[in-house]
Parts: sequence; structure tokens; C-alpha cells
Amino acid sequence: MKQINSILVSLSLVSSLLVANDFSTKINYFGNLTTSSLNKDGFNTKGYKVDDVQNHFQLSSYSKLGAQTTIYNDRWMFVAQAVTHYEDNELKADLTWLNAKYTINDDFSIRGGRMQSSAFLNSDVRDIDYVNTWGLEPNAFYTMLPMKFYDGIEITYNKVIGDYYINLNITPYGELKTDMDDLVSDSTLTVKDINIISFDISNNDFKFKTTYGQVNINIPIKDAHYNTVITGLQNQNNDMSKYSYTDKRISFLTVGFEYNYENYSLMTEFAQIDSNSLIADNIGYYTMLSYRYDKFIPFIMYSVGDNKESHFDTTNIVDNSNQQFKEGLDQILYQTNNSQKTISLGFRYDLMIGVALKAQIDKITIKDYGVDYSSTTKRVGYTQRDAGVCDDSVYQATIGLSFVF
Amino acid sequence: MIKKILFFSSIINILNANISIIISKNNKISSVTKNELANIYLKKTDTIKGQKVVVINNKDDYDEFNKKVLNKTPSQMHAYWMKQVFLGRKVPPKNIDKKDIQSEINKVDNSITYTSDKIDAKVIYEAN
Repeated sequence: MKQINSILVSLSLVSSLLVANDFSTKINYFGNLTTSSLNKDGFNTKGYKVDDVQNHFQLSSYSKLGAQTTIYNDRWMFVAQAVTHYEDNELKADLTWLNAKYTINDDFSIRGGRMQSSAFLNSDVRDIDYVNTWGLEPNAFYTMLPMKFYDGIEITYNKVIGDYYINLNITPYGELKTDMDDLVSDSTLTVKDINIISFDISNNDFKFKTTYGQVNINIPIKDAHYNTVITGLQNQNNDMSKYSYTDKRISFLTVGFEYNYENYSLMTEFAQIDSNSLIADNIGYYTMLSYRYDKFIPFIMYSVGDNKESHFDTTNIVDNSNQQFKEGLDQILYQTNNSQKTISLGFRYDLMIGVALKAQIDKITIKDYGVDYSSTTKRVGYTQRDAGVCDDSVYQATIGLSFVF
Repeated sequence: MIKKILFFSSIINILNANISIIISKNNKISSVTKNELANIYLKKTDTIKGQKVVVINNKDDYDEFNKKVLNKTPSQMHAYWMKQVFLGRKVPPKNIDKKDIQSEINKVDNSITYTSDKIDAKVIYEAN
């Protein structure tokens, strides 16, 4: 918080200086006041904490308040954005944007500093809930990449050709350092050598976007159980390099499509992530169909985040110590699994310019195992595990206000 | 009776007022397509047929223009510009009052704007 405050104060000073140089300043605010409830004990979805949303409505971690300062003239644009939200009963804050953009000419611009990932159709406005129709994003999809924002450089080319607008973004360099907190790591995630290229083409009715990227991740794992298991299996001449987060290259490909026909709107995205690491290879997709009755927009959405089975195949691992280490590895892999599919029904109602009421019911189905690290649910098909929860579902209800001004 | 008919007729005319997209008579641009208008008003480009233009919104006819030309509701337009601002990409065009349009058009040859009134300027598109 201190860091963000000092940055905002610095920006105010910079803003005062720039006013004298033909710069304009905009200050905008955004937020989300959202409450959610799950219908089942012992289960928490990604992005929620157990204490937040179990069996009764509570303000979820989707509630947030953010502010942005934009200072601009014809050539330059400086942006600083901070978002605060509650997590573990503690107020947390992220500096999500802090960059300078220079427009070189009508077609090219270059931006440097902190920016949000534009890998998906809406990943760079995930915090600005007001601009999206859904109440909750398809989280199994939008959490596939281990980075929400990064510090880097982005070169943009855009051009209107006939009725079409094309946009090419290249990120030749980027990096990120952030704290992690899960059962395996409880450590710092470092993402380096971020290289992303994305292309989109649109007109008034449709948008098509595709992105390819590679990043290098590094997570030193402090968990004693993990280190014992991996070392034990290594000592039995197994190649355990796949089962780490150390200096691993991850590649990803996304394809997104949005089509508007009269009052109908269809949005769909697909993504694939490949990594030779403890992070499972993953595919995800979602489709959302909505219909606008003036201010009222009902929608239906289906989303899937699915780990590839090969990631969990440990049949070639040799364990001469009475299977103890191999079972330990299976448990670790189990913890990294988060396959799920979700059917969502909801609506958005535009109460006034800048304020929207949103409600959504999600039916979340766990495939074989699940996202709940703390329950006794286990992967199906492995011995010495508790009973599985194949195709078990929970319902989650969410209602909230999204606003910008 | 005739007065009543004239009154309701004028009300209907106001409700169905045409929006004229206008530019200075000194400007070489003589016509524009709906798509070109969408591109410049959503700030995807700032040129029409290679000529630089400065887009200006007329506060009083803003919603009608967005509905007839951009096919967007007030909330959709707000969401669009908020998205652009929060992405650090672009800011909305300048807004002016209807009464200032004539002087703006007279002053800047490449200013492009719209109005439901009669203005001494070149009409390059009519939105019904």
C-alpha cells in the first residue's frame, strides 16, 4: 500500500508539471460490490477462500475498488492504476497498470512499464467488471496463465483496411515477480522472458483474436514433503526434471471470436498451454451467448478448464522404496489438478450509465478430482486414496453491482 | 384540429429527427460511409480517405447519433470508452454543446461533427 501511495503522489506531481505542457488528465474509478454463496461445505472454487462464500452470502474476493490516472496529449499517454480487494480478511492492493505509451505515427505505438496481459479477449480488463456482460468471468479459463500483469515493452501496429480494423501487438520483453501461496510452493513466482505476439481483426459486428506466447517460470518450492519425494525418486535414477517449476518454458496459444448480430452476442475462446513442468498441460474454452432487451441482458455460458491426463501418468516412475515416494508424487500431482466445467446462467441490467446490476448462478462440476485442496476428495483410479468425486457438482450464486465513473 | 395535427406532426418529426454528419464547406471530403464514421468515432483511425479529421461529439444529439450510426446504446458506448481508457489506449472525442457547433465548424476546417439542426456546413452523411 505504501508503495502504491507514493506512486500515486508522484503521479499527481508529474500530472501538475505536465498540465503546463499541453497534457490533459483524467481520473477514473471502478469497482465491484459482489456477494456470493456456495451450496456445499468443504469446497472452494479458484479465486475464493473457504471462509468467504460457504452456504451463506458474503462479500467475495471479487469485490474490489480501483482508481486510474491517465495523463495524455497527442503523442504521450501515462497510465497508473491500482486495485484494492479483501483477501484472507486483509485489505490487499495491486498496482495493475503503470506505463507510458508513445505514439510514433498513425500506425505504430510503443508502450513500456507495467501492463496487464492481453493474451485473451478480456484478460486486460479483468478488473473492470463493468465492461463485461458476465457477473463472474469463466475462472477456469482466465486463470490458465500464471500472470495477470507484468513489466515489459509492447509494440503495437494498427490499421484500418477497408471495413476492417487490424491490430498487431508484440511483447518482445517482459517479466513479473509475485508472491504465491498454495500447498506446494508458498513462495515467489518469477516469470521472465515473456514473449507474446497477438493479432486481431474486427469490424462493427465481429472480432477475431489469436495470441501465441512463451514465458519462463521459476518457483523455488519450499515444501518439505515435495523436496523429500522428488529427492527420493531422483536417488532411484528417475528423471524428475519434469516435476518442478524451476526455469521452465511455458508456451500458450489462444483463439477468440466475438460476433454481434442484431441483439444477439456470441463470444467464444479457446486456449492451450504446454509446459514440461509441474504445471499441467491444459486446454480451456468457453462460449457465452447473450441477448439484449434494451437494458436487460440475459446470458448463458459454458466453460471448461481441463488438464491433460498425460501430466498425471506416473507409470514409468520407478520406486523401490515400497511405493512411498511414488504415492507422495501422486499426491503432489493431485494438488496441482484443477479440471472443471461450469454452466452459468445470469443477467446484466444497466441501472444507469456507469452502474450495472449483475446476477449469475454457476453449476460447477469437478472432473474426477478437483480444485479443492483441503477436502478429502481424491483422484479416481489410484489406490490408497479416499473415494473420488467424479462428476460431483456445486452451485454458486452471485449478485453484485459493477460500476465505473 | 389542424393545430393539434401540426403539433403531433412536429413531435413525430422531432422524435425521428435526422442526424446530419457535417464538415466545413472548405474541406475536400464530400461523402463518408457508415463504416468510416464508426472507425473515426470509435477512434480506430483519425483519417477519412487519407485526410486527417478531428471528431467532435454534439452533447445534445450524442445518444441519437450512437444509436443511428454506431448501433450502440448509451451503456454500450460508455462501456466501450471506459474499456479504452482503462486499457490506456485512447480517450473519448471532445464534447461540445449544440450552440457551439457552428463556430467550431467555421473555425477548424477538418472538424467533423453531427447535428439534428440546420447548420451552415457541408452534409457528408445523413442518418435516418
